[in-house]
Amino acid sequence: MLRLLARRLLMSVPILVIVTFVVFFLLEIAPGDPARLAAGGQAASAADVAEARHRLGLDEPLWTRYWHFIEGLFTGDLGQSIFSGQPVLSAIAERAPVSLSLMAGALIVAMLIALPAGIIAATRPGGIADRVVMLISAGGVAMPNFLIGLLLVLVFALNLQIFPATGYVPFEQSPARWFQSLVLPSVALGVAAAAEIARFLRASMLDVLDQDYIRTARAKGIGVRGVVGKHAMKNAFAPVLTVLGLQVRILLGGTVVIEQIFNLPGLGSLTVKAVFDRDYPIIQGVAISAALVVVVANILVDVAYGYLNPKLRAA
Amino acid sequence: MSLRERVVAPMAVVVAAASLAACGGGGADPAGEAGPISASAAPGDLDTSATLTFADPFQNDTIDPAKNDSGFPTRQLNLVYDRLIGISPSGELVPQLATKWEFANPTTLRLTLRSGVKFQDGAPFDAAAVVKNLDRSREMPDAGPAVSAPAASIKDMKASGTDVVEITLKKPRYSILYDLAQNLGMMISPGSLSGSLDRAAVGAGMYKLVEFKPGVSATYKRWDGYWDAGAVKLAGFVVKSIPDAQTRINALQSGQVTMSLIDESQVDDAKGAGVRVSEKATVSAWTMFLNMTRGGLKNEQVRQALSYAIDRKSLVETLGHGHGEPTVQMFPSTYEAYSKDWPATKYPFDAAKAKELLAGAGYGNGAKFSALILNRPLDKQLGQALQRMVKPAGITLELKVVEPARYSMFTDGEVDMFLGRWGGRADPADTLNSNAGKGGFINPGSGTTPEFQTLMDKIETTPTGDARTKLVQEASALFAQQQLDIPVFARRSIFADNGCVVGFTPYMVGADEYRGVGVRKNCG
Repeated sequence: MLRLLARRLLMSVPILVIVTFVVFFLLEIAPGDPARLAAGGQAASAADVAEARHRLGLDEPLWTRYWHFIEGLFTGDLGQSIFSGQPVLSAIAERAPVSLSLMAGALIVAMLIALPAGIIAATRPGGIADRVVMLISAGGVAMPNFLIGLLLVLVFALNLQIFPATGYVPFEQSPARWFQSLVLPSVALGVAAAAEIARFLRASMLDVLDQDYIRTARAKGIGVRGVVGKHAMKNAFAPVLTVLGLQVRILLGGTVVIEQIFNLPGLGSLTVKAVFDRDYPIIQGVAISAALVVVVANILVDVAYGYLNPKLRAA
Repeated sequence: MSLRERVVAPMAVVVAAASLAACGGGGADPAGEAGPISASAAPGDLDTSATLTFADPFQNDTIDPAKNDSGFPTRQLNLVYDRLIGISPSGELVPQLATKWEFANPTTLRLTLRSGVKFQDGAPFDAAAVVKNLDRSREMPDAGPAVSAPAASIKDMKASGTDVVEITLKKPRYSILYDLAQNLGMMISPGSLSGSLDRAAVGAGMYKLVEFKPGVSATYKRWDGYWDAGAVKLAGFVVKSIPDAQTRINALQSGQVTMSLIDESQVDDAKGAGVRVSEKATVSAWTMFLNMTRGGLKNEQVRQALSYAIDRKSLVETLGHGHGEPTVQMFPSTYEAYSKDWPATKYPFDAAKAKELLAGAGYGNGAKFSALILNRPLDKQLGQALQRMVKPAGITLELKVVEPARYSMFTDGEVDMFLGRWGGRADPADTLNSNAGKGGFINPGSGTTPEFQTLMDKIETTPTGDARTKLVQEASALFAQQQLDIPVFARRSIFADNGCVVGFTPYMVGADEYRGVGVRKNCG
């Protein structure tokens, strides 16, 4: 297991190097001049723009800046926001708990819905429960998360007034209000993932339930709970893990829209503003952090895969 | 058009209508019953322990007055920083930290300061503090242009005793008074001048900054040592940055904010649901900004033809949802700089007249112009509407949609015109000069006309007062006659609140103040 973990960690190094390269150079060729924006935008004089370019180090050669950027990654110095002057790491650290809480909430919502739905559908293939699950999950996959978000606000925040329509309360300020502020966004973000996972779990479970060892278990008189919970679930869940890993990337992207709708001060809203402002250091920092989250999620999936399927540990 | 614009915007409208209708009987008072937002209340009717939470579409990165100079976000700086000179809701200069100002000669401004004022850290506000503040603005390498440019016009400052400051200018420039009424005049405690003011603020304003989170929120609490204690009616003030218009309305309806800026498109729904709406004309206007150094736009008749070719009334109805005023000047008709000689009716929507003018200018076969638009929903709507409108007059607009950061394509002279929104300036002469004067920042190639430039030069050396206002009106009339840019319609700032806010008057020049703003007891 440790060898598997070490191998996956080593493999992630070139991925992250490529990510730094792509992030840095894509921003270089993107239209727009951050020096002009930093100098005050429309009203800035040519001299002001030149001064801002020098102050931000944007007049240095490209490779020199890339080298500084890589150096900074190792020393934890990702630079400063061009506009707020805030260190990028501090901006990310302030915003990350919001996005990570939201993603974790969405994954929990997804699993709470998907596990029972997928299992019920698989154990009664073709039945009413199966059809209902499939229909709802098709709707869940098809419905964009912003639409779900708006409907949730309409019903649960504006009409029933159970949950807040906007905003985020830090956990340390009030755990109860933190939970409340995350319910609607997590559901909005997690529903599509739930539908996707439920469909995969159903298909995977159907395959497993058709295996000889399951028939043997049934022949031995083991009940449905035992067959599914003890024998089928472990094998059926392995392919679902792959989907789960992919969902982390999708959920991370989804936070951008959900954070706008619910006005959550997370990485998504930070990114949107940074993109419009051409705040390169912030964009670079967020992109690297996002890549890191996805890589870590994939490593965890691989390790879990290895745990569920011992044959993979040696692969 | 992006997926979000195609799908989210219509959806937001549907949901807004449904949600507002559903919440009609909610906590807010029905429109009108609560009285106007600008009404005052008896001291006993105010909740002095209340915190007003304001939803602002703008996301401030820094709270440093020298850096944060994009106009609208200064609204929240006014909470913590008092300025040397104030501005009234209708745009006139009024005393604030300086009680009197006079020009000893065209280059020497003498300010008499309010005595007995203290900064929030207890330091005295005096002439020495003013000199230190102005010195910082002059020396600061990363000051924004709204501060660095006027600061650069100052040759020297001198404290004369504790209550008088003399500012010597490099050349006569009476618009310095308007600069001192904006970010340049925001007074920072001398003890804080050497440190970073991106996230900290110590001024002499009504509220003390408790916490500033860039792009997220700012929290203020009442400062009991304020020199005009009667103006402070709240225990605290919170500004939440909420860029999405629908989210702002949702926050207002669910009671998470007390007051919000809203979009024109939301007014009717908001009123229908009982959310109180207040609006006021502003010096901001949708405009066709011209590069008068390019092709046909050098010709006055061509510019006038463009003006005749657009249907301003219909644009107010569609783009402004009925909230706005057709204008051929850069100002609304209620502003002091507006010239009554040039109402919008001087350029009625008349494609035949436009064609005639074009033919007279040698463009009988039509004229073609490249027009830059920023990739934002309303900007694109304006561009597409104008493109269709001018077509029957034989004018072709080739639209180039770019991200906001590429706006410089216009100022760099790569296109004929830029279709967008003018944010307004406190000094009306600044508005005219920026758009059509020599060196105007939104006037590529400094395209102007000799007679307009002569007027602008005269205004620059005329003291503020009736004579200057008259000259500005003349310049505005000339601007309209020659259509140096083509204003389309003047915008309004629109506020919605839960029916509990009193004493608030939206400002015509954008930088609203919250003097005397309070919240009624047992409301909301």
